[in-house]
Amino acid sequence: MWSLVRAAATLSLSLSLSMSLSLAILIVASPVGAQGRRRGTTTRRDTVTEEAREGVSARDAEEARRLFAAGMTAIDQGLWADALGSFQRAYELTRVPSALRNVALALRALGRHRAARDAFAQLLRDHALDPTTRHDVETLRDEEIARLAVLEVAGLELQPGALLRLDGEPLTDDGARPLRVEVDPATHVLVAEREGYERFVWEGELLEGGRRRVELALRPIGAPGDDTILHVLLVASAIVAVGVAASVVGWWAWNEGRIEPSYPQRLTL
Amino acid sequence: MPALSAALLCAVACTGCGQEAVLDLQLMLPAVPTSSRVQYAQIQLGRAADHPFEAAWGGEELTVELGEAPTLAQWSVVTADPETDLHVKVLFCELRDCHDLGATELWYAIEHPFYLGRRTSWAACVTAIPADVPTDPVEVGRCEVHGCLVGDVPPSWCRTETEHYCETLDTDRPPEELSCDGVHASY
Repeated sequence: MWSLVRAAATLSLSLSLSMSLSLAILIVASPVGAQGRRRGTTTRRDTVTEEAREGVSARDAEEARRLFAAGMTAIDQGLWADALGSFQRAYELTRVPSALRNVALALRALGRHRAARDAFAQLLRDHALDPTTRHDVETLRDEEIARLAVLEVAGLELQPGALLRLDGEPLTDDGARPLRVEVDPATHVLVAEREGYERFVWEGELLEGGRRRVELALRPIGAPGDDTILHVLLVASAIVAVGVAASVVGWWAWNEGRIEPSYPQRLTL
Repeated sequence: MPALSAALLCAVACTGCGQEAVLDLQLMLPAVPTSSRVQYAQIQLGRAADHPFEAAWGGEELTVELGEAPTLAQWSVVTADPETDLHVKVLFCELRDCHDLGATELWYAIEHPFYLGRRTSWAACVTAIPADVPTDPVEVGRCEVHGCLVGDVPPSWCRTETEHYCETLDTDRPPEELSCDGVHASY
């Protein structure tokens, strides 16, 4: 499965990289006047992008081209995280849409579907794309949306002031109840902390498109917990077991020592 | 661990709890002709402490119909109180319920016949129906109560003057076959 995903991403990324590299070279080679001519035919959003490109220095353009090359090399070596870093830096320098698209594809390849979804959305929002490319990007974005899982945190209304962290990062509470959080399909750790209460920790795996509900059950410090109940149950069970064993032993011993009357006629005093 | 120890201790201790003492009694009752007024014997038993012979008793009793041959009455008395002295009354009656006024009686006062977890026995031959109600019981000393010793029947069932064999031995000795003037009975 991973190899298929990786192959598809590689193919898409390679095509995109080729376009990006060409564009990057174009940016570096294009005089300011050429960019100004293009400005008149672009949309307003693209104008913003074009304006960003206008601020690209020759040094940054050269750096962007170097980063593209480094990103491609990283992909060849299967180093998706390194490739991501290169494309992100290239996008920061140039604001070239295909660099952002490569960022999104690298994120997708890394399984960071939420970030990939956001990157594709940003691409659609901030850049003018030709209809075919836009359609492709929309498709990719929708695929990423479908892969996202949802973690529902219930019982938060009963825990005012509780601080939540998901995978170590603070979780923003938008006030919705239950609190719904989009997460990548993976194993996650949710921690809730509240003063005077024991730390609540939940760990579980969410699959692609899956949904999990977690009930926050914060216990006041010092209150009997599951361990205590278990301990009590174990002790009680042991006492019962010992009692039963003792009764059996006692009954056996008593029965062994019992004298049966010799005659059927019996009188009891 | 303390619970385990306590429970086992209780179990061991309880081996003495609920134990009972058994006294097997045999009385060979005399033969009566069919023309005899007396046709029944009623055997009554009671704790010596609250069953004086002079009083009429209620409670546990055993009625035996007499015949032309000697009749062997056998019964077991069970108690959880080993300190009980036993009083036995044998009433000879015309009626089965012994409510007739002319009943004659035999009295036996058996001293300390019970030992917890032990079987003891005692037997007697009644050769004739008494003519009257006695004024004193037949005293059966504790050393005449059989039990707990295997082998030949000893002249006394006490190892010392005061210590019965059942106080020190735990042998379950069944009652002996009772023979009265050639009439044998076995249980």
